[in-house]
Amino acid sequence: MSDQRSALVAVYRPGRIGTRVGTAGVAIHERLGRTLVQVSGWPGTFDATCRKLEALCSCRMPHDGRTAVSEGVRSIFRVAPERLWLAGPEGDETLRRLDESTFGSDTVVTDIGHSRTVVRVTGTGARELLNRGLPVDLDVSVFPADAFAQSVIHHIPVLVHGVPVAGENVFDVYVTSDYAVSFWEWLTEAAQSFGCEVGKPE
Amino acid sequence: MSTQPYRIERGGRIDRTLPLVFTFDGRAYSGFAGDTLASALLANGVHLVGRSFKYHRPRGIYTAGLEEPNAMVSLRKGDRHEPNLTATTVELFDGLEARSQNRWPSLDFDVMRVIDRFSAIFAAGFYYKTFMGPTRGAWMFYERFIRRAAGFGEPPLAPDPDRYEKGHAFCDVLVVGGGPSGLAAALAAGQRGARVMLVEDGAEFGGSLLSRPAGGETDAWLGAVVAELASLPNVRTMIRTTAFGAFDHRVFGLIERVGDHLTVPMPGQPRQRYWIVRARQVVLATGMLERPIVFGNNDLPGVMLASAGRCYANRHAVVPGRKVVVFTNNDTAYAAALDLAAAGADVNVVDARCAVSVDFERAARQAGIALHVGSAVARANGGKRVSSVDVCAFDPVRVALGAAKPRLACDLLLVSGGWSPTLQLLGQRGVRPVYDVKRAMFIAEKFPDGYRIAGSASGELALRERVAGGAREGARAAEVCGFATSGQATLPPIALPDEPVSTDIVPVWMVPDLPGTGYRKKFVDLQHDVKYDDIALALSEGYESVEHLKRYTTLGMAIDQGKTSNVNALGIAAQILGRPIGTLGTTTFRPPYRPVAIGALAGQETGLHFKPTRRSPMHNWHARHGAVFATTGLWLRPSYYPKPGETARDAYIREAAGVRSGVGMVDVSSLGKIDVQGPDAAEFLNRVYTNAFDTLPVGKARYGVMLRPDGIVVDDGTTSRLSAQHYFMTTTTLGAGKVMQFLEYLLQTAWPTLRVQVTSVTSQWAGVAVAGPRSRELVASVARDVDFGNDAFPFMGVRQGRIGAIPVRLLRVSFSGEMAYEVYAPSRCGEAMWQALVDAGRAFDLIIYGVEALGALRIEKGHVAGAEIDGRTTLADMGLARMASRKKPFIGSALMQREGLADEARPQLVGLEAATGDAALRAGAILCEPGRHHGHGIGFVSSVTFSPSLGRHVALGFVSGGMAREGQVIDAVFPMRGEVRAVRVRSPHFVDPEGARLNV
Repeated sequence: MSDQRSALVAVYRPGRIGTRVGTAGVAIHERLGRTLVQVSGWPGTFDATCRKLEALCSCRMPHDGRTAVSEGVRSIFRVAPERLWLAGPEGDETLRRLDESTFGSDTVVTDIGHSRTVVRVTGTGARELLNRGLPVDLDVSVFPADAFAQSVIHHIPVLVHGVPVAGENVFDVYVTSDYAVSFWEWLTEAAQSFGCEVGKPE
Repeated sequence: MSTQPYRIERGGRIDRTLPLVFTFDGRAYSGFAGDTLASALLANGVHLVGRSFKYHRPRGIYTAGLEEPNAMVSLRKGDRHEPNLTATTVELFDGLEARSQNRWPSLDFDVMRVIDRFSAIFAAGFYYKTFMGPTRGAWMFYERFIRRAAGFGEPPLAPDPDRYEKGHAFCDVLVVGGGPSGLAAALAAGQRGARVMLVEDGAEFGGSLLSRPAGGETDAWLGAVVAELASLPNVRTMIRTTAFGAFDHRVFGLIERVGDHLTVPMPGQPRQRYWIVRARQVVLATGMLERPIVFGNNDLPGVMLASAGRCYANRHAVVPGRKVVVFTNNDTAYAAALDLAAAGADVNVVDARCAVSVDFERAARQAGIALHVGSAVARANGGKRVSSVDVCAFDPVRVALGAAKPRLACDLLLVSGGWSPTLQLLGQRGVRPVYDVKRAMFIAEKFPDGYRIAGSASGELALRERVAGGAREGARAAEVCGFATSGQATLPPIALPDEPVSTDIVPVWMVPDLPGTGYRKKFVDLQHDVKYDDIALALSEGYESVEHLKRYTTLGMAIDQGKTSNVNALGIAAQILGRPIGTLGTTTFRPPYRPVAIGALAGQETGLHFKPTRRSPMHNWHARHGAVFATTGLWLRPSYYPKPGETARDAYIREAAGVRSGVGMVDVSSLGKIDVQGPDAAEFLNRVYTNAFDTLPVGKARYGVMLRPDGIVVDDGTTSRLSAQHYFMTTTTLGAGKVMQFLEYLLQTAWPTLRVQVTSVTSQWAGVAVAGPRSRELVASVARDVDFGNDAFPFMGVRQGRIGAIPVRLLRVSFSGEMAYEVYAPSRCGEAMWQALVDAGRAFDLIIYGVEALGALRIEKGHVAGAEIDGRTTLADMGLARMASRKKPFIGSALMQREGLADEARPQLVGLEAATGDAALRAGAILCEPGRHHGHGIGFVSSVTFSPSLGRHVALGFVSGGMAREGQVIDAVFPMRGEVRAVRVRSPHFVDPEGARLNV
């Protein structure tokens, strides 16, 4: 789809912010144009929906609301008992083609890709930076790779995902788009004491 | 500049290679890195640092810690000015500017000192007795003078230029206090693998060890433990951090003073950081505080706690006096006496006990200290600094003075009345301490789940036992968290000194006046100027409960929260009442343990960031084109787009008129949007809306109203049927959240068997309303794949189309009363869609309008909005009774028929205009029968505007009788401004009541 514009376009400025001593403790950048599809259903039939999705996506579906399944470029979250979020890169044809005809009347498919802005936070200070606002324990012993949490940062609804990248602290924050500027302002303000590199959107 | 005449040449824990310059009341002094403001002042011979709260008596430095009741100063200036900081906790930095408080014209000569002579008048209860009853009104007159005369520092008026942060932290074991027991606890827990947070209020770890002579064997132990802790990746150590509050479920509030010890915070760094810590186990190693003894003139500068004197000598290399008297009732003060004697001071010890141990007696003799046992200091003498003390024989059991002994000249009087474990955090969790007679202190015996106590906070005085206790409790805490067997736990192999157990104490709370020598004030609470006499007076007037005693005398309030006064007050009260101290109870501790800056509690949530802000996908376009924004809930919405020279009124009238005459466009992205899908979606909507939605054809929209279960209208909006099982619901901007919650609540609790999914898609879709007689032409000029013929796309029709490559949903619905289309596009395409319409709109003289014009248009049309759907109105009140289906039940259908809601006398929606001429009406005005302006009237005005169509002001309102009053003239009364306007009742549909303009 042409003519798309990030919710952050007016406030996004790549470069170093905050403390300039030493290496930046965190790096942040926007992940542009992520595809995000919600697939939901009802008890009794949702397992069948998951089996179809497993066949379509070639990976298992998550069983609980704490750990995502990341396979290749996709991450799948069980955000409610019979509700999945399937996140993929821009132009993920498999996700884009999901609709009622894929599953029948027992499954509801809702495109919510435009409703979320995705910000990636990395670096040694990533956990602590997010914990400036997120009341969720992000220690690796409690929040291992692929863990996710739905909570709030600065009163803003977020889904925080610990992206499984070996040896690195990588988190994706899915934030409601109309709050994105407020979130970005909070994030860049909080990041000052770490020293922060704002990367180009990807 | 002073040359620090009281600085000891060697020793201490200061960095003599880093000299610092500071000012106090404008005069320059020098100190060293590692000094506090208090130690640096003492090094320069400055003892007079403040004036007391009430009587303006000269006051000096009393302690060496955060319990300080006297030495409060204002720091910095300009917008960084901060009052009421204790000089004993302010770390010295180069260029520090400090000022004394509560004095005029100067600290040395304070005119208000005269109040001290009238202290008998200003005793406890003065304000209660003077400004109650018939004289109550006098307070209004005297208040400003009283407030000016009494108090602490001046609050800052300018906005704080510094940043503050908040953060959440989590750990297995939180250790509060970085003294020897806290260090041992953290090490034991950390070595077992637990995630440990060790927080220390001071600038370095060590606690009481730092008051011992530098370079001793305890320093080796301290260094080894701190190094070991630093090597453990699972241990987080935080200095300059105070645990100020203990809350439910082991949640703690911490303040980290990141930049307070610097002139200004480092770039990018906050001044303070507020931590919310969640811990699985807690070890409180909070230490204990020394108590004073109350006697005449015990508030003179030069009187301080014995532990403070020792701290200044050993930690800061300052000898606060050269002729020292130590007044004690226990063993611990001897360490101070010996250390000060070793520093070259001439020391006398006055001990209230009849005898002291042979060891202490020998040590004193060897140090050249004169010992006066069975004696007490009955009075301190001096003006702005102590110069001598009167010593008498003393019977601590009868609290009676005996024969006078020779007066002892001194310039420093150290006092030790025993110790009080720091139990405030436990107290905040409801723990009531109990009195331990043997040790003469209040200790904790019961602990909340997950809490442990270690070290001197438990009442233990011996160093080895304190360390062993810390290690034991730290290990147990880790074990409870599941770290029982993993890891090794060893303390450094450095022997700590084998010290005698110092529990020999004779309680002495107060020393009476020596008969025949006159009266001198004996202060219990130095910070609030509460005297022994005040306590006696309060008790004599019946305020025997400790809570009443506290409030009647103001004892234990203010910044120090009675850290040095509470227990003495209890002891004195027990003595006067003739009851054991343990039976009196204690007052309740509440957060914060020490003052917390409001800025730290606010963190980043100031100004525009007090709450987050929601922005439309087209927000940047609006900003670029001069929109003036207004907040609607959390949304920033364009209010109007003024042209040069236009007022807000001019702008919205122009915009609304342009819509009526041509075409206008408004951003409606903030409307709530809910995707409703599933086999039972139609049935679900039938139940939540008052009207039917199962009969709604695919491709059509319908206006719907929802009620609360009690029959009151909660929200309205249009819902479109996109397919047999798929609906697209819109709500009001402010109602979006509560409607979504309500729908989820119903599906999860009332109707769990309905197969319906609801999803908020408010952020998924950008929305534009294009309204006006030429709206069809405009929208048709840009939208593709849609037949805009009146039959093909009728009023309330819904179509899918494209604007360029952007897929759009088109709804032919109207809020303005004009022919109108709502156009929805995926939000990232919102601005492109908007721009396409703007570009095409140039050919149609498109007007961009904001919510002010939107409001004017809907009021002219008589459409209800938030001002009418205010949580009190029914369908019938708003003239929508016909929307209540009689063929089906719906939420609220039963209770909307209650007698009170069905009463025809209820105020109902009407239109209003000035009865004669034109006049602006006020929303909120009370509608009354002419001339009968009392009670709640017969209704109220809900919405007002200037109607461009009618060229006059109009309003919507609710009036009893509703349209039955059409044509009547009633009064609109606005008592706030004393206004009364005669208004005529008319139809709320000021414009196009037949709806012809919807179908041009």
